[in-house]
Amino acid sequence: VRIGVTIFPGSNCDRDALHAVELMGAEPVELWHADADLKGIDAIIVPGGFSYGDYLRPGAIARFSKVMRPLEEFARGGGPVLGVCNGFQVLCEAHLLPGVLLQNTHMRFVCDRVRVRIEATDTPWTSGCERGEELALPVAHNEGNYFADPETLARLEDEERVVLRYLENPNGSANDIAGVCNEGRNVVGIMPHPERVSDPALGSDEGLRILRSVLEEARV
Amino acid sequence: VQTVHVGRLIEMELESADEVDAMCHRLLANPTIEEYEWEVVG
Repeated sequence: VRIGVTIFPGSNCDRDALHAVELMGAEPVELWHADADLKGIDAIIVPGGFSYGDYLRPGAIARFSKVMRPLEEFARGGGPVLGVCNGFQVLCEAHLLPGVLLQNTHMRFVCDRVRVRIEATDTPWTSGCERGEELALPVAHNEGNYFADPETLARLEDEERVVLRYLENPNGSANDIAGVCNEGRNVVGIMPHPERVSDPALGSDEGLRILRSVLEEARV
Repeated sequence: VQTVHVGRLIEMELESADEVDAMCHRLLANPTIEEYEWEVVG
């Protein structure tokens, strides 16, 4: 299974994501922002960082990168896409996911490990988890406060598209939302960083619970 | 203090203003959270 990791100027979790893909037992594939094709990958991770320096709004410039055109096609065709942190912001700006990540309500950068609950297991990125399962995952962001209009929020809840929910909300996000999926459920965006807890040498590999899900999906 | 407004002001030199609205909608503002207005000056 080949898993692509996009690299924009200012991405800073791309190496961690590529390393995590190796630890998952899959083949990591670098997808440079100026690449016009996806090199035959089976799934894509859009990693965290500060793509294009977060100029204008986080993710606003990255969505116009060359690699985003085939990525959007891949996503609309049902291909599994996971956006982590800045990757989540990019997918929202690209309208592959609803809503937007606002500045944290306390106006400070948050760098912590938080407990989250898996709320939906019918996505390629959570199918290996149990519904209601709790994980401790790192967060590191200034804009993680998920916002969508009340109708969109109600729809997300009705359609069980909140994939990950905080047990202690670190940023003021609506309904304690830590991650959502698109209508087709193949595109998932989450603020916590599973790739940072994917190596026992770093103290935990709980993040592989999420990342490895996509392998089960690919082998079906 | 009666009112306070915080916003972003973007000045651009353009050949034509035909696509300004589309530019605002697609990139310069995020309509999910932001409103925008624009005017041609000189």
